[in-house]
Amino acid sequence: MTPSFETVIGLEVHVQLATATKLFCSCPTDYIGSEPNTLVCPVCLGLPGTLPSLNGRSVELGVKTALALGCSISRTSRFHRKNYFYPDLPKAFQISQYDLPVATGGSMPVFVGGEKKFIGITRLHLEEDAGKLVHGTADGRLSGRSFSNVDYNRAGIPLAEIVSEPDMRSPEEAREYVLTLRRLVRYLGVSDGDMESGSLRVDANISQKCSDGRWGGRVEIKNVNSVRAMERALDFEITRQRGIMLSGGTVVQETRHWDDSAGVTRSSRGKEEAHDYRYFPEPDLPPLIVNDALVRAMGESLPELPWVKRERFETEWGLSPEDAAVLSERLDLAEFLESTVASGAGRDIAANWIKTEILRILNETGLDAGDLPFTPRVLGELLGEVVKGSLSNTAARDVLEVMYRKGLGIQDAMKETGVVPGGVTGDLLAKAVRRVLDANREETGLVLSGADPSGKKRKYLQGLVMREIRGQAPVGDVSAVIDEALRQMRGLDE
Amino acid sequence: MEIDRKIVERAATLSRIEMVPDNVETMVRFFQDIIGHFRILEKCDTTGVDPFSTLEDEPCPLRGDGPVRWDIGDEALDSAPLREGRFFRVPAIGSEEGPDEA
Repeated sequence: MTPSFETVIGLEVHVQLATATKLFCSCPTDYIGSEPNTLVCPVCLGLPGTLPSLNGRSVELGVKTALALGCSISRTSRFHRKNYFYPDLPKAFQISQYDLPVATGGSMPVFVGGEKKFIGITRLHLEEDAGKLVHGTADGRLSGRSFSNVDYNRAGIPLAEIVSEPDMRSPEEAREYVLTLRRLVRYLGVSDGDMESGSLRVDANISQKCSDGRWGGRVEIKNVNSVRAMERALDFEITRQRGIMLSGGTVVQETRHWDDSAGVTRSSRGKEEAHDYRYFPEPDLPPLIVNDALVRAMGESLPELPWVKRERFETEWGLSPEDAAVLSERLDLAEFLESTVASGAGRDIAANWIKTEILRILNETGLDAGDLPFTPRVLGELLGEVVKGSLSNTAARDVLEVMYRKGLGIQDAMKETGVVPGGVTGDLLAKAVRRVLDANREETGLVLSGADPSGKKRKYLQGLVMREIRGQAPVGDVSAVIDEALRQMRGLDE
Repeated sequence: MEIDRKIVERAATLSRIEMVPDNVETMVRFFQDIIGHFRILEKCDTTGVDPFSTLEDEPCPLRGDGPVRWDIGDEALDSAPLREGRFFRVPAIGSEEGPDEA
C-alpha cells in the first residue's frame, strides 16, 4: 500500500517595526528611496568603541504585537550576540535575542476554507536587520562579477521575529497565516507589512511525516519574497520531499533557497560552521526590563483585532463571510464603515457601498479612508438619499465621484453633476421611458409577449431608464411609468 | 571541556583567522589557561544567583525615537578599502552562498 504523508510547516516571520530610528542608534529608518550609505553612523557601521542604545519605541511595538498574539511578556529579557561573518553585517555579529526573548507562547486564528484554526506562536523577539547586498551589475549581469556592493542604510532597522509553532499542514494554511499576520501588523500600526519592499520577510520550515512512521528532515526555505512565492516553494518542497521518501531515501535537514524564475528550491552550499553562531549575552546591554506600566499602556492601545472584527461583522451584523473578510481587511476601511453606520446609515447599504465604491476609490488613489475628502457622516447622508428613493444608486455614484474628485459636499456635488433628486418627473420621465423602450425593441417585445417570466428583461429596461435620467427619479416612480408605457403599448397592439 | 588543536582550529575557522601550525599549540595553551581560570571561578557557590545578574543591576535604558543624521556616509566610504559610487565594495558573494540573513 502506498504510504500517505502529512506536511508539517512552521514559519519565521521578520517584521520591520515602524520606528523613526534604528534599534540601537538614532539613524533614521526611511531607507527606501534614500541614497545608499547615507543613513549610517558609527554605531550601525560597527565602528570600534561604539555602544548600542536601545530604542524604547521598538520595545513598545514589539510588546504591542506580542500582546495582540496573546503572548506572555517576559518582564526581564536579554539581548545576545549572534556571530557570523558576512559583509552585510558590519559588526560581524547581529544583536538578537536568544534564550530570553521579550515574549513567548501565544496563538493566532487563521481562517482556511471557512474553518477557524489557531496557530501557535512560539516566541517574538527583537533583533537588528542586516545591510543590503547588491549583487547585480549595472547591466544586470550576475556572473563574472568579482565584487558585490553593500548598502548599510538597512543595517540596524528594528525587526520583530515572530516564530510560529509547526502547526500548519498545507501551503494554503501558511498563506493564510502570513496574510493574517500582515493584516495584524497593519492594524496595529507596528509595520507597513509590505513583502515586496522587504518590510515583512518569511522563512518557511517544512517537513513530511509518513504514515509508516518515518519523518523527513526539516528543510528551511529562504528567499521567498511574496506570499505566492512561498506557496510555490512549499508546493515544490512537498513534491520533492515525498518523492525522496517514497523512493526510500532520506530528506536531509538543510537550508534551501527558492529560485522564483526557475520555480525550484536549491540547496545552500553546506557550511556546517555557518550555523554555529556562538551566541553569548550582549555585554553592552543590561537586561531589558518591561514594566507593568508599559505592558498596560500597550494593551490599552490595541484596536479591536482584525479576526475579532471579522467575526463580529459576520455574527452581529449578518454580513456574508466574504464581505466580512473584505471589510475587515483594512482598519481604515472597517473604521469608515463603522462610523458610517454609527452616523445612521443601514449596515447592509453601508457595507455594500464601502466594499465597492469606497474601496475602489482607495485602491485607485492609494489613499487611506481617513484621508478621503468626505467623512463617514457625509457618506451616510448620501446613502440616506438613496434609501429615501430621492437619489438612485446610479445618481448617488455620480455624486460620490464628484465629491471625492473635487472635494465637494453633497449639495454642491449634485449641482456639479446636474443631478437633482426627483428632478425628472411627469412628461420628462414618460418621454425618457418611451425613448428607452423604443430603442430596445427586442427586450420590450419579450416583456410585452410575456416571454420574460423571471422579470430580467424588465429589470434591464428599468436600469437603462435610470441611466437615461441619471437616476433623477425614485425607482418606484420609474417602475410605475414603465408599467404604464407597457400597458399603452399592449393597448396599441390589440 | 578539554581544549585541543581541533577546537582551536575550529574557533579560528569560525573567526576567519588564518593560523600557522606553530601558533595553534600556543593558542591551545592560552585557551587552557583561560578555561583553567574559569574552573577556579566555578568553585564559587552561586546558588540562588541569577546567571544573568549584573553588578549594577540597572535595567537597560530606553532611548527616545528621535532621528539624528550623522552625514558620515562619504567619510566612511572613503575610509573603506574599496568603494563603488555610494556602495562599499566587497568580494563577490552569490546570494545562495551566504549564511542566513537576519
